[in-house]
Amino acid sequence: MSGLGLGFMLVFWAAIICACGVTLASLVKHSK
Amino acid sequence: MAEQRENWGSKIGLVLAMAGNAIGLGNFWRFPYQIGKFGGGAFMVPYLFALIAMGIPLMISEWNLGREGGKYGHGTLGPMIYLQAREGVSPKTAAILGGLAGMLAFGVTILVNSYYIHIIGWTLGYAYESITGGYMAESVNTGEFFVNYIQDPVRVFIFWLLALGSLGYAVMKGIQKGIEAWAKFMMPVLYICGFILIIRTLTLGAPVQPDWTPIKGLNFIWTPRWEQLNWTAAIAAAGQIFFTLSIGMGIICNYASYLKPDDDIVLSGVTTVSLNEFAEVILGGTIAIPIAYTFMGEKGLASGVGLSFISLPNIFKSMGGGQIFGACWFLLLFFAGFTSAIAMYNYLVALLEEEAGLVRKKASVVVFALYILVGLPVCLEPILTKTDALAYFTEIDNWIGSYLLVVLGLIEAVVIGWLSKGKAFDEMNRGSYWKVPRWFFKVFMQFLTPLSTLIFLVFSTRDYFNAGYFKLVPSFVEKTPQLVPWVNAARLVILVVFVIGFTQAYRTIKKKYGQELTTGKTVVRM
Repeated sequence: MSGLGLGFMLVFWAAIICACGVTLASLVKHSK
Repeated sequence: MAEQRENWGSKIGLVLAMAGNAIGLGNFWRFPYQIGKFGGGAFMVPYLFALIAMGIPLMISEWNLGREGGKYGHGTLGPMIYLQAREGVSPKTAAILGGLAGMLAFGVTILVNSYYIHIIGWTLGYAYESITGGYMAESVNTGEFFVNYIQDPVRVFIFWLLALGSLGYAVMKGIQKGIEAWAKFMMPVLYICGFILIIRTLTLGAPVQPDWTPIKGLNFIWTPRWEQLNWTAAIAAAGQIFFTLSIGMGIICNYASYLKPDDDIVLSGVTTVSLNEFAEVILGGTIAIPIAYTFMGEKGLASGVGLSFISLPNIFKSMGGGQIFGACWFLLLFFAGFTSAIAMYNYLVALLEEEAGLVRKKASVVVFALYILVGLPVCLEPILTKTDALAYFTEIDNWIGSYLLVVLGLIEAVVIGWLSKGKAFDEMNRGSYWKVPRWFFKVFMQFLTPLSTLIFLVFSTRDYFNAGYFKLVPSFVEKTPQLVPWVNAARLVILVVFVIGFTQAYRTIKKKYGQELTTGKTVVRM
């Protein structure tokens, strides 16, 4: 098993988690 | 009129309601088998392209259409499209475009929900069956159990009416006390259910074969199979983006119509997309498929739409704590579906408030009765024909729930990018915490979004033609002539709904902007 799939998955996960973090943090910051 | 419209109570309530609107059954039910079927990780390439080229621009456009329409007192798509389109074409042409958009949104909110509420009812019924052990006995065949379930009028009607009644009650309470309050409860519970299921999934070990583990399942499903990356996969990816983000339905616009005129839309729209992707790719992609792989190997990934109601229950039977985790899975589906169905329900309530001047309570009761009427053929077909082909449901879903979403998306893209142009650009940046850069508007909203949507529509049309959906007797019922009347009934219902939808949308526009249609000049401006 190459682990290529898991690597691919983790890249997408990281991108999505970053997007959620940045957008939610910005919303909270602006809502204050 | 505009002063009487309700607004969202809080930013977090709005974003949760919007995320709930977007996050639906498609995230947990459709995405896992799409990625499995169309090339694993390779599927994510067209998926990502569709998300950036169509998903995000159309999401921001719909928020913009809705907030602007709400300023004029509109909660439905017809007049919203009219207001933007009149900037680039004559009011008469804009009214026709508005009528078409209103017709499609009316079709989606009535007919998609006619079967969607049934599926929500099934999830509620299956949550009950999981807890009470209804399908847990070794002797139960889960395929037969599902067929028996949809052919059993008592269970189908009880859970359908429970789901529909809860929706009606929530919408009746209004935007803040109803939709927003329910979203604030349901969305966190949905994410909690998702996390519980992920933890359980990843700790399943290898109960059947040493090679069948959840991690290996994830690796298998995400390994790019580039040879499977073709136009069909690209079309499936684009379709998934439309379906998962609830774009091309008019319901995002309806929710955005309850914003205040200077509320942020760009950052809130992008946050909605991010939360939806979290639910789809991380939660949706890490529950059903690894569970199926752990217990059934590669064979489990070929389950298609039967994954949720047939394969997974079969696995819950042999899994430690299966009753609890089964209930958790179906409750997750229920909450995901509920928070989307409520948006479609509210669209029709807004339409009745706007068009017939009904108060919210009365309008909610009328829509309840309407959904009973249009939902009856969906549940009666398997009961009366004793089949499980769901031909009426399939025909409605093929046209209203899939194909025509793209047509509506194209209308929106053209209206925002080419007819409203500079005005739309200024509007979407007004009050927004993040600004849409001019280059993004030009490259994406004026070029890439309409072009990609058009290409997507052309290839979808070709696929529909090849699949025989345009034939008088569509291919999927050629071998079951007893189901042809159900397909024809679906087509008749679609036609009737479209005639009513176009007439209603055009009438609403004419009622408020009649002078503009006569003189050809913009009179009403806020």
